Amino acid sequence: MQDKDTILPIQLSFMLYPTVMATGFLVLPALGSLYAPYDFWMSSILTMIPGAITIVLATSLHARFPGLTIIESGQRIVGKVFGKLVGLLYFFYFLHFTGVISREYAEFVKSSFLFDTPMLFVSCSLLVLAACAVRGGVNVLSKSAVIFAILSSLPLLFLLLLIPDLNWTYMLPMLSQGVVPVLKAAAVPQGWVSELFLMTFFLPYVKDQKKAKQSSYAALGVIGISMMLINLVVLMLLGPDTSNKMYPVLVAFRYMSVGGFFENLEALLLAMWVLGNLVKQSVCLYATVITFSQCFGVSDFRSFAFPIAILAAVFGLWDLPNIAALHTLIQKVSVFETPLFTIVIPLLLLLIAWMTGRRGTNQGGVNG
Amino acid sequence: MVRRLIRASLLVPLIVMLTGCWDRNELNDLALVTALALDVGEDNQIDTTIQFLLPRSQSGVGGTGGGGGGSGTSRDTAVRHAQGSNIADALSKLQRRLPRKLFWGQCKIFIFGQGVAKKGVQESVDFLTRHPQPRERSYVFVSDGRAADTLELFPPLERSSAEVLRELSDMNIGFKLTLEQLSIKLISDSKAFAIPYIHILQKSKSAEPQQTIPYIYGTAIMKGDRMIGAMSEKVMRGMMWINNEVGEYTVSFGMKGSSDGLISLKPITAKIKLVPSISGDKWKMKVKAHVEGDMVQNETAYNPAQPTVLVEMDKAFEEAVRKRIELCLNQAQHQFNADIFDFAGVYHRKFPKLWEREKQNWDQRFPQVEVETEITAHIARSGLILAPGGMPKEEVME
Repeated sequence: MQDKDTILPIQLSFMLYPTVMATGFLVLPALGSLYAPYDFWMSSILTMIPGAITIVLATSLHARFPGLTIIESGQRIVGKVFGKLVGLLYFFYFLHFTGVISREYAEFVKSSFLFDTPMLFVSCSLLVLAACAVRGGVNVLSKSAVIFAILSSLPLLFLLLLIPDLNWTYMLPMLSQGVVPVLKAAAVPQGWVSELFLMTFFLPYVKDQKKAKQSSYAALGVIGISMMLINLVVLMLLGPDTSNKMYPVLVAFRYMSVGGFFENLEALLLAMWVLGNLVKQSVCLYATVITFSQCFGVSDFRSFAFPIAILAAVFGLWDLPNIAALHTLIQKVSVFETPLFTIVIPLLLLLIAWMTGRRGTNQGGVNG
Repeated sequence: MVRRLIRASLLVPLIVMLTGCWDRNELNDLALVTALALDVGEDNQIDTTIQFLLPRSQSGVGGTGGGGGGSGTSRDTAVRHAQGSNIADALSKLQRRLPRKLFWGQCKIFIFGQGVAKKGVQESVDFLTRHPQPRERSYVFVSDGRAADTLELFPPLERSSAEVLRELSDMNIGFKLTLEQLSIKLISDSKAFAIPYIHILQKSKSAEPQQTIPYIYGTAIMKGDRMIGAMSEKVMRGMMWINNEVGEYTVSFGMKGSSDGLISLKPITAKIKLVPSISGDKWKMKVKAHVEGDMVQNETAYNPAQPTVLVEMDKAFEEAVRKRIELCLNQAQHQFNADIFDFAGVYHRKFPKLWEREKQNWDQRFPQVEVETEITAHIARSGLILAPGGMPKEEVME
């Protein structure tokens, strides 16, 4: 952490938005529709709660240990050995996570656009870019995120072009099965929103911590609104057919037609998919690389960017034999896996630190 | 500096990738499919017929500007067909008979032959919605007779018969159904729906043998995923009233007491509300309609400028709308027992708990639903003249 780089709070929110939205938004309505076919749009509100919790956790950990990421502060809280073990867990989790998102990215591109291109080529070409961004450091990451996040989220507004085709009666009957299905529908997206915890790796670079907190909440708010917009438009367009679609948002973009000539907008979707995923993958790869270097006490993280990117590509291929396994992972496993690393472990660490009264900075003290 | 140049030159290979990697497609390697027709082939196989665009330079009329003679129809499309055990199989066989790669991005028309529609469309819909190329916004039709025949027409206007069907659908005169809507209707509560039904227009005397168009006439009535019958144009109008889909359409009706002529209204605007109610074992549905129209022709001797006369006309208008709606309801409930109005969905939304218990009985329930119509109809404007045009003053009835 010898960088003199700094991040503006606003840049933080531009990094966090694609980190949560970039891969998930494409399948979001289908996952909710499985459980609450008429009410899943309400789940977007519920998913904000775990998001807010992770922001609180990340910022209060950082307030106790200013200038330290969770990997470093973990070593201060539970001792060096256990701290490194926790760090190793995080490393494997982030590596696996980066692999999965690069697989998700490549899977969509291959199944809907580039049918004949080898999947490994698709996933690696973006990972190489992400690794370049990581080598560039926080400055490159944050500045590119601002441009790419804007470019990748604006096409969402095109969903409004579908208004003439929407049928609001698909929202009825409302809550006919009670609120339990809505809670179930919120299960998967809450995992995605809690990925906001990745901000722990960027908080040390933000000067004004209070503003950092505010801009994370702002990112969370925009994420909630975007999820609601996507859910509502897709629900009113596809109704009961939503749950059977692999990529409901792709269908929505293909369905757009304005005046009979403004059509085939899925190319736009692909463009935002690539840009959004670039930010997401570089943020995740950065987290993986930093975790690795802090865990093993290596001062220069840059040289690990490419090797770990290769590992991530391999993880993406080997973890998941087919699309059904990917679906099970998203629907059943990551629901618990993500909050374990983004809420449960940080909460435990924070509790231990609070009880033992440990605090610290990266100046002096134990050498991380 | 040199290092920089070397580094920058590393970017050059990237240009190679910008061409689309392994998926590069050249336009002159593609056959642009405009429509797909599905028929029953020999041995219960499926017979797929595609219509594809011929490049301008090959269609024969290319460079000759404007003038030209009436000798020989200009043909912008050609058809080809192949049989297989399912659509995917048949299309792969078809590809073997076509030197260019099938490209579905421009295909906006899917036509089920009557035979296929009667056997069930679900398997076909699976292919069309699963395959990543066919577009969800394409229109679907059922054809009277073989679907392939509608593709072998060369319309005098428009480039292809597929284009004719698309334009006709976009005009909002009849009703239209997209592939995605079909996919939704197949899993809807009512398990019944309608698909636009197309016929081949009889060619005019001077036209050449295949120089005519397919056009939409009435609907095919589907139950489950099978076609069980067809409704005529007139009856279909009643369905469009109830489903609130009245588009560009002229209503003509006679006046009570005067047998000599009709009043025609266009355009019509309608607001329809379906109000379901359940009392005991009686399921009722109230169709509330608020209709307005502008007069375009008045063959009667009545003067619509007179308030008292206009009230009478409104009543006749109301009666005309009611008759159309009831005619259609009667056929749907008693002849076909097919809930093409999605009353099932209306009950489901209003009584979700009860519906969960009763939904398996819907087939017996639907014919017994008591439908009540409550219609208010107004003639809003009478056009540019008041009393019947060209009629001497003393003959006009006030």
